[in-house]
Amino acid sequence: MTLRRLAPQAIWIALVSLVMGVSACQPANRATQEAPIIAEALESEVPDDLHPDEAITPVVASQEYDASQAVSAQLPPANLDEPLRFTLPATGQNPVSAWRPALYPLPWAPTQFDHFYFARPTAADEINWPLADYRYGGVFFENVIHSGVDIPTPIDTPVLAAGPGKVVWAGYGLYNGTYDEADPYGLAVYIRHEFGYQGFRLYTVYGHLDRVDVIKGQHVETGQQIGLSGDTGKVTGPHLHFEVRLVKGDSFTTRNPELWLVPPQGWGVLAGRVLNLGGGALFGQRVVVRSLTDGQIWHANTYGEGNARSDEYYRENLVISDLPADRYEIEINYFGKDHLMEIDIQPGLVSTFTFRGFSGFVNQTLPLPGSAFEPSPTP
Amino acid sequence: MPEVIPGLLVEAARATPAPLWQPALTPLADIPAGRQHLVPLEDVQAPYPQLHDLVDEAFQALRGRVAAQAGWDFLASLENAYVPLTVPLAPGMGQDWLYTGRAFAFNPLLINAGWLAVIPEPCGGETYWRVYLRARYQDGSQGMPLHDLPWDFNARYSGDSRLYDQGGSLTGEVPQGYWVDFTTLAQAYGWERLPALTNWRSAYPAARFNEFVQSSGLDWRTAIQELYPPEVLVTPTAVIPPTLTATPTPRWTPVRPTPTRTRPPAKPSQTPTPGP
Repeated sequence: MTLRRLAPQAIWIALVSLVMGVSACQPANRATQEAPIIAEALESEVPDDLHPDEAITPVVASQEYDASQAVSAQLPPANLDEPLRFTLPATGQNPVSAWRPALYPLPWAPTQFDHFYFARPTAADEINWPLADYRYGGVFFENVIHSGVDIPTPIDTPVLAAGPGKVVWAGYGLYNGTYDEADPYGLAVYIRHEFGYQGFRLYTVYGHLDRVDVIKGQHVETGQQIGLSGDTGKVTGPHLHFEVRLVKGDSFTTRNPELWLVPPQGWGVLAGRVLNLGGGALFGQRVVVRSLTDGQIWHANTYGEGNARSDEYYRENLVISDLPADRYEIEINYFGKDHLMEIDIQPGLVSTFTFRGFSGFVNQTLPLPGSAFEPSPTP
Repeated sequence: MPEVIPGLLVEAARATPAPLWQPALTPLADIPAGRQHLVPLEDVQAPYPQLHDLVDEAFQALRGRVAAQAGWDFLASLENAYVPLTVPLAPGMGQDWLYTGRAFAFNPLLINAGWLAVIPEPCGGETYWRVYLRARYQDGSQGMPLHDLPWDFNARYSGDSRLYDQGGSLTGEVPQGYWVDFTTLAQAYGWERLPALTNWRSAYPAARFNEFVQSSGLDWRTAIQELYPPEVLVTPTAVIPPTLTATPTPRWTPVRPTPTRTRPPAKPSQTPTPGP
């Protein structure tokens, strides 16, 4: 109907263009399907009075173009199989992963009282953070204060030097200084590091090893394998005992390694002072930390009564490291009453809080050292 | 060469100021040839209040000059003067000038009290610091106003993540009052400032804004050998363990070696024959 209203020349031009366009731009199988339709249109719509001297003649076009033959010559063999379909996973929430970002560069001391001087003593392909129930200052084995942290390494996991230094002990007997297979540290390595802190020399201890790969007097670099983890000594299962010691003269004191191990990038550390109303430390007080973003929970107990030593600046009795920077809620149940406080964990920094017994959490910012300085007059 | 020196030159010679300090050696009988020794610093608080015999006069002269210009005894309390080789410093400072007795480090905590301001001065791809002391009398009789923004190391606590990468930030405004340019005074007495270590933005001790050195043109190795014999500088050499496990690993349960077994093939190989 529409074709009859058009001028005869225009109809022919349109038909030829349609045929040529099909052969040049359309998929081959589609051209083969449309070819009979075109031929049918040519037969039914050609006007009888068309002059043969026209510039474009349908006769020429129809003779030169045999759509069925031209297209079929280029076609691959007929494939009658059903086309394949791919099922792609739908976009959703990121899966929960134990993956952690890389550590901050060593040494990491963004403020004047930070001392993240040590790398992790085990590689990132295994869990290399402290067990929650075996942190520094915990009480185990007949009221023995835990002097380090326990990292749950399977047996024969490579143990790495946390910093450069010299091996000063490798074998059994670190606790008493003489060879003793019943030593609580088991097979252990003791490294004296090249650097120190505020006049103290720093040492690290790697206990309960299954094998030692270094000897006394050997120099080691950060990340160098010093042995394999195991379950020797006084243990309930395989793990790595890691300890940080500050030594001056012949005596040493331990510190919480969670304040000395470099945190992952974008993650921070929480240090708390959990005290009674009179300012005395609360021993073994349970503290729960909950992420306000995803509800993940961390927990720790405050240091037990004994030889656990606090940092000179933070004066903490509880540390939870490896917390992603976020907003958290701290919960302390004290004499049956839950006390809550929200706190921001800053990436790469130590965030602090203070709890004072029945007073609950108090806003007590640690003063900057030296801030109360007053100059002495000229002599 | 004229026999009579022109009057202008004579005047110039007379105008030459006397040196600000002169080293005075303290003779000791049992010092090996070519070696120097340490002398105590009187009325100075430091873990080891001693300095090299050749620079202690320069320190005391600087201390008196600063006290006179700032109105308070800035160098009476030091973070470090001489540091024995047996005392380790922070990571990355294993060959610090403090070991040579030719350097001192003032107490950096003064910056928290507002009596100290440090201004970064990038130079030659390194970061130096200019140290200003707050004058005791703020009536204009001491010091001069600051014109530059000091560096705030504690700005990382602001919660702005950009400041982590920068190692702090410039303060928002120039501190008011009158300040004494300690760096210029120290330079007049031969005390050079040290550039920050490359990791100063992530390690506070590496900034080294509080350390000044009187090297007298010596390199560190030469300077340390004025105090110590060369043997102490022997680099720790890695000791190769004779075996992988230096000591046999005792076990609670003895481990018995597993004998190697050679198992015959389950089925004999067969050569297929063509079928009929």
